[in-house]
Amino acid sequence: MSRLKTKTVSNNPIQRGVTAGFPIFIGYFPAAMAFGLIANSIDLTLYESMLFSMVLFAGASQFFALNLIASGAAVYEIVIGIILVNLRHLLMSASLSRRTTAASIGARLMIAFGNTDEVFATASSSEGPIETPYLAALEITAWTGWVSGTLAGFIGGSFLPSGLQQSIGITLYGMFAALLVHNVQKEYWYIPVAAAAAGLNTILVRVIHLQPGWAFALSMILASLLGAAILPKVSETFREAEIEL
Amino acid sequence: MSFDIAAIVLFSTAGTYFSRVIPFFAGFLDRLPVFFKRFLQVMPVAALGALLFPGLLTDFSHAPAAGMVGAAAAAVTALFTKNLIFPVLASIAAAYLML
Repeated sequence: MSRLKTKTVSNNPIQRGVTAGFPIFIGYFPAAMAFGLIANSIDLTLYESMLFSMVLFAGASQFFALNLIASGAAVYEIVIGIILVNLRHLLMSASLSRRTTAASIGARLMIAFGNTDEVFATASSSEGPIETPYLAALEITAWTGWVSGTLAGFIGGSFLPSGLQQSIGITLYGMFAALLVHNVQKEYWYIPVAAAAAGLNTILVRVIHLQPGWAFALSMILASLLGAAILPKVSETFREAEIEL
Repeated sequence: MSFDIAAIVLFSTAGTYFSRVIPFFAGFLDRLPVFFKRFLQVMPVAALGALLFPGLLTDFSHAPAAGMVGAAAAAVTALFTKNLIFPVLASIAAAYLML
């Protein structure tokens, strides 16, 4: 869903933002449908599912939250896990803040909210300084796709035949597997990192019987340290936008 | 709305927004050590590894093959499309056939 090219079709920054955001809308809608569908299947209410998408607005970490909620992890474990997964936004916002024209505190507070991976990738690929109306329109378009997709998925999930509903549990893992494939296609050295995290988590949960949330956080941190250490030199300049989550 | 879900959404939103907003006010974040940048960069990939295992093996203990085949179907589909709905549909279809 990243690396979307923007065609300049208008001098109106809001119109350009909506145009640039449309491919993200198209990408987010089905992904959010999957979120709504799974949220429904683990018995979250419509309001809870919508609240997630409206205020957290952070793709993969929402799927991750569903996974931990379903496994009965404690609240603080889930929260710590989500925050860790989303720490990478520090890099994206740092990069964006250098190119944005947002001067007022209010404008910065607002555009920071919608800085997802795909929004960042799209905004970064545009030329010149990034104007606030353009960025705000881009973010609102992406947000609308994410929120409306959640609603559609949640409602659609209620009408699925019961035979199919049984196999919905797999969709979460299907999502994770698909996201991993997309990442590995960009950087092959991600494979040992993901494998290390998978192995560590399996040992911590199955052998040492650590709480699932802690096991997750610990294996993610250790495998990321490994990843930072083994990262080949050529990739030192790797672009922050290229992680898809 | 359950209290637990509300707490999860509230606190994780606060933490996530913190990561998104702080660099707009603190310039030093552009000058993080390279090692730390790589660490943040690779974290989502590590997360995916830990999200897949052992959950994929244990969540489907009644039909472990269905879980594996469903995830494999999604992975193969993902090789050919960037759109996430197709892998998701493929995994549902594969798991449905296996169950």
